[in-house]
Amino acid sequence: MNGQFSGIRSRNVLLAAAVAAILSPIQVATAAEVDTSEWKCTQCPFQEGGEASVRLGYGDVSEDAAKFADYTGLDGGGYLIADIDGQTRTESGWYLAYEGRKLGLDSRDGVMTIGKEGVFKASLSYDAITKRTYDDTMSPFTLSQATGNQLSLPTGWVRASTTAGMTQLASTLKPVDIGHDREKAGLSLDWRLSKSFGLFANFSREDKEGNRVGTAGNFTTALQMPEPIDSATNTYEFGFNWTGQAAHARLAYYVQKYDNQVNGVSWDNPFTTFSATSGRMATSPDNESKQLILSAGVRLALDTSLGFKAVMGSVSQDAALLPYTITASLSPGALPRASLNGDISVNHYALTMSSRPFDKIRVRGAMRFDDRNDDTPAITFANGYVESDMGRMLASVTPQRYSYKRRQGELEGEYEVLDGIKLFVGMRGEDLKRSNQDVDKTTEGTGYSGLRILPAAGVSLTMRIGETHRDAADARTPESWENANFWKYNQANRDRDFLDIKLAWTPAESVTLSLDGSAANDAYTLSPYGLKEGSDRRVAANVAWMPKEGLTVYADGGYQIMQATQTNQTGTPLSTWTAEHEDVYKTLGLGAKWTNIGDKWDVSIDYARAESTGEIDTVAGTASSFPDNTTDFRSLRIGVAYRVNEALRVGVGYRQEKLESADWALQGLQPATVATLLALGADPYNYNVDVISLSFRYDFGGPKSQKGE
Amino acid sequence: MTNTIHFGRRLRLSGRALGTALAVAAGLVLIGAPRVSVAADDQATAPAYSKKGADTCLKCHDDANLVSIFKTKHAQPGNPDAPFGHGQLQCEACHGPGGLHATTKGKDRAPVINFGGKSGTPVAVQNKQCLGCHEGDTKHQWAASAHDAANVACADCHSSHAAVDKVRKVGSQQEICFTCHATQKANALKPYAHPLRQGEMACSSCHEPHGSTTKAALKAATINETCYSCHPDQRGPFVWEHAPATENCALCHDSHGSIHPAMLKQRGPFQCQQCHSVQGHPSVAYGPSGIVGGAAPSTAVLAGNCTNCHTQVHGSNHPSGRSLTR
Repeated sequence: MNGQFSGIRSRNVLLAAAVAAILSPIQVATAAEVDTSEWKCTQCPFQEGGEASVRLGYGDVSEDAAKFADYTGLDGGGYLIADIDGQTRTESGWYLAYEGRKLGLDSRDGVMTIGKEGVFKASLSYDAITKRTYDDTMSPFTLSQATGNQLSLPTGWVRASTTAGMTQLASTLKPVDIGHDREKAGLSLDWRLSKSFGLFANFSREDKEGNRVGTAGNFTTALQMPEPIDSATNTYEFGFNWTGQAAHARLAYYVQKYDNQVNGVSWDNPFTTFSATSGRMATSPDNESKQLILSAGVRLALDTSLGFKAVMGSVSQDAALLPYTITASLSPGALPRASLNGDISVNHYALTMSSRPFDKIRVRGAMRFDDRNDDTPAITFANGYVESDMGRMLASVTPQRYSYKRRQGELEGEYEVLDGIKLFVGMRGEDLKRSNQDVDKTTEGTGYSGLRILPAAGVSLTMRIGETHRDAADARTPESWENANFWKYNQANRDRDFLDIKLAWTPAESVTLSLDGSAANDAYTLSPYGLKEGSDRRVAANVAWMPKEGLTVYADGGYQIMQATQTNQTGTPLSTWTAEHEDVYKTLGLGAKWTNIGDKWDVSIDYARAESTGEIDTVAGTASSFPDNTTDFRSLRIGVAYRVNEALRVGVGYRQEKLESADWALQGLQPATVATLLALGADPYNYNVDVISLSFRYDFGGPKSQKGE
Repeated sequence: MTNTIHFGRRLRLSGRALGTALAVAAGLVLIGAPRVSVAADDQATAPAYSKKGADTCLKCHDDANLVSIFKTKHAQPGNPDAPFGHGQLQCEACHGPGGLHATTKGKDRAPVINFGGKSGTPVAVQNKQCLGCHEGDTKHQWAASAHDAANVACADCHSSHAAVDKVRKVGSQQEICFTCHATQKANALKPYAHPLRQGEMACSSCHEPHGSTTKAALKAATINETCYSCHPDQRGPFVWEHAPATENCALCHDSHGSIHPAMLKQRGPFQCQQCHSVQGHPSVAYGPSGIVGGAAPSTAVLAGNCTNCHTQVHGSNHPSGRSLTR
């Protein structure tokens, strides 16, 4: 041994022996130790051959509503209902499984998997997501189909200093929907080489195309426009995993490449302000993220487990920089280099521990270290830059790079004082070092204690109360132009007290109940100005009753109130103003599911309602209040299915969804309402949609009853 | 012993440390060694298994909800490691030895290991059965998870007998999670939320319910890395960075849903004014006079408020993007 490990001292040998002793595995019976020679499984209905289900039908959506179609893909009008799922298996363990959902909608997905059980698996997947933002917006801009990134105003457009002077606006406004589609295709492979060793590889490509609300400011004026989106993201991951008797490890290499096809968006300036006739902004740059990820876990004696994760990564981007401005006459000259050459290292190391050395004692802990280090070489724009394509700023500027290092530690001990009653205490600590920000370092400490009551199976009550103190006072150097008495809330001293309650209870065989509540109060006592205080109180509960086989009746509800107070100073001489926020959110849900009624019918009904109110009161010399922002969401779903025979089912569905909202940021805002803002004219969300559906589901193959060997 | 091995400029491992590491590694290797057989004495006192395995069980337990296990991966004879793989312990692989259970009757019937909140089998015993095979899934850190600490049974979420385990499906997973996480069920109905309600995302799109090394059991190493997996356009690095965006997306956004657009924690312009105080428009006291119908409808209050001009709030890659307007 000395020859092999000359660096190991005798104490290390002892250490190795101790580790091995602690790690002695728990002995349990295995299949090899049981006589199963008579276990023929003749009554086992193993699956062999194929089976599939196909659902086809027709649905109708009563009206087009972007917010309703958002993610659901349920645009107005008729649509095809098409779902499929099935699998084919062989006795030797080969299988083919497939599933497609919502195939008749833009928001659809599917997956097909082929493999041999316990050995090999390959999956192809597809997932489309629809993002619908607005369908009532209007704009005079037209996107160039040739370049895909130029937004032009109509020929003959009359530029003006205000929207009222834009005489061509009313006649040239065109409806333009805001939203985009995501389509993601994936391939994943898993290959188990042995009982303890396997390889995996995953690849996916996501294409995103459409538009979003783009904005641009020209000092005193601003405009909204349909900003094009066209990007592709390729993600690769491959590696291996190993599983031992009491330990496991996984090593993966992960790469994500984001490729933006829209490199900068330009637009004609509808305003005459500062005379620039056009503007151009950058878009998100192409980037590449690479990570080497090692995770591992080991189970030791004394019911002790350790977990470990290390992520060593980098991010780079070298997208070509746009010129300083599209306004050629203002150009301050050549760029210092062609791209940012952005280079960031991102590292994460974590160790977790859980131990139950005695029946009544449990200890849990974790240590984490996160590091984002921006290694991008400094780029200095020595000849100044151009502000909003209109004015050249002569000062030399060097953009700040931001790095941070975060260390966290936590430890919790739990002691079972009586059968089913556990007390726990815990502490957490964090220090966060930032570069080039107001505060170099914040430290945060948390202490809490609580009670877990587990008197019997089916009951669990956890209560926790604690305090957190964040200290940011060591060194503070706000930017010279900021108010020196103003503290950014994430870099300010903060005292927080909190209380959590969680209950899961099965009071009777047929009833389950869960309750989830929390309260937290924040005080930024040392911040003269900025966020001063905040609170968040919420409670939510579910109850379900199963009075008979196949029937479930349920109800749920929630209430949340969030409050915050902020202050600031403005004017000469400085005067203080205050804003107080109160957001209230309430939900109610009721429903029932009854399956297999008379072996023929399935019925379900679900009702949900959610209301929100946002109040903002300001005091700036005099008190005033914004109108409340409100939403009122109601959803009713009814489904009835009838089983015609073993293979065929007929389903009828009705869905009604209604959203009413008031939002002072959008209420009454038309493209030319504000003299200095050319808007898209979106209204607050309001819709009332009915969806009806009729579908047929047919099962092919049906359950097999082939007996085993 | 004083030799030092250099791994780049960041990692140095001394010979002494290397020796210690090797010693620990040697111990770890022993963990992975093949398990020793149960000692003869232990076998003599071990509970009896049934005579005919599943054939014994299925004589009584032939309910369709139980038999549907034969549509699942657990009951594939072609997989030698599955409970119903050739030579495996079939029902008793999970439910434990059933010999006594099969030969006793009535009130005296010996129990077997059962699963779920109402089963009467302690959660730790239930979970040990599952973890015996599944703990090795190396993405999991179960013992360090909040679910383990809260005494959650695997069967509270998973239905191992059902042909379709709802919690493993994107469209139905949240139904299971919301059973306990009532607050998140409420959040999913907020007007601005990730598409859980619509079945286009699952809780496990971001969280690792079986435990991870991060706070809040995130799948990726940090909050931002979690967000970037679907929003890589926000990753940068940009020429002009917005400092909080590089550090923590959750400083401005509430990922579980908000009543404010873009899942912001607060309404603009007030959210921005919780950090920005520069004399001039960042510090102006905006009020209801700035809305439509007010005395002076304002670009800084309506529509996207601050972002009407400062459009690149996540960072700008434009040389002239100092004010995040380009």
